[in-house]
Amino acid sequence: MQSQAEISKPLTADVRPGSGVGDARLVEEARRGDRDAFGELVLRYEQRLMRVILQFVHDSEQARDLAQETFLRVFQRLDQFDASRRFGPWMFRIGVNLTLDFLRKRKRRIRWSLFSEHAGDKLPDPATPDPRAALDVSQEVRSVIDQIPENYRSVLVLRDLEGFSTSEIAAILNRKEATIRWRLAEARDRFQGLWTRRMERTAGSTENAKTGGEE
Amino acid sequence: MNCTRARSEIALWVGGDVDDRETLQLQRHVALCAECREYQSRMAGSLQVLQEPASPAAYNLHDSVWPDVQSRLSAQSQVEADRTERLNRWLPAAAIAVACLAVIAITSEPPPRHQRLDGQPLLSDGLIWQPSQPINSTPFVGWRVPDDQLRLPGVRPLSQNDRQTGWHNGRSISYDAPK
Repeated sequence: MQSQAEISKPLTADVRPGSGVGDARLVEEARRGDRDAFGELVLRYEQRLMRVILQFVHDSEQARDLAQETFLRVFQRLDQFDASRRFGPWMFRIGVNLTLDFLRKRKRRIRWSLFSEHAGDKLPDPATPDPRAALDVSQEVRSVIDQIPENYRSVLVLRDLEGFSTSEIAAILNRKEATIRWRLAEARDRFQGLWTRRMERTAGSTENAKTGGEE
Repeated sequence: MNCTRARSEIALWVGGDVDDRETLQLQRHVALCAECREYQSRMAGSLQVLQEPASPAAYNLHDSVWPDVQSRLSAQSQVEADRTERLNRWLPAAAIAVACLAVIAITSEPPPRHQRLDGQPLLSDGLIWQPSQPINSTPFVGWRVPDDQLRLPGVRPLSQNDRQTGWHNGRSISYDAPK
């Protein structure tokens, strides 16, 4: 389990031991074509970026590919980076946008495949037990989070699972902080509603199973 | 503070996302409102559940993406270098081809539809520079207007009694307008 203190570390990446160089300087050197400087930035941010992406895609191989793609795009767009701003939010914005685009495409593909002639193959087999029964709490939480619309879900994940501040999320998602706060309140409210209903359903089905067993 | 606003603020309060003044207002409100107190309790519980499993798959520096990123950057640089080299190879040939096409286009341009017979530029569309007799034997006789109705503002049409001037064999001459 991750402690709240660990979650709430600031967005600026930890400076690795032995390198006191700030992000701005590394970005400037990378812009001039210094690959080692860019490598230093990658090493600083990759761990957190991977964690953020994993919160959305739940697949480490896919998250790794998306992280690689993010850093490639960051390198290609270094000329567009406003040096008066912080590098971290800009980099995470590229990563989160890339991840959300990936999820949207995957959703479209799944929707399309449901209408294809092989749709029948993908429907759950009623004879096999419901795999959801085996989910642990974290997976249950994830499945509830996945039911929340993307606008709210991204804010919820970044704030409550990754510990970004609302101002950092505003920078990452390119929205006003007031909008982020409103979405965060709405996202938490929706999560609470869905979670409560899920728990009530689980409690109901357990009760029914007990009653059935006694009969 | 009404309950609608309080609930929106409570959702932020449970995550520590409100300032001290708002916290104080919310504390006062939930002390008086049982429903909002209940909401706060449920919200705090769900947030605790939400934040508990916040540890996705373990990740360590052995899994660094930098080697892969580095090799992809090198591959991209190689592709760009190849493209530039190919461009540099074809650029002179392309430039020569374009120049040849330009020369052909210029030299094969058809003559303008109306032009003065002595090669001077046409002054105005509709007026044709044309002598009434062959140019070697007769002096310049003036403008011929194809359409009798055509009039240019400020230009008086030729009268048969007018005395005209023109050029013949390089000299200015004066002559009577042909009858």
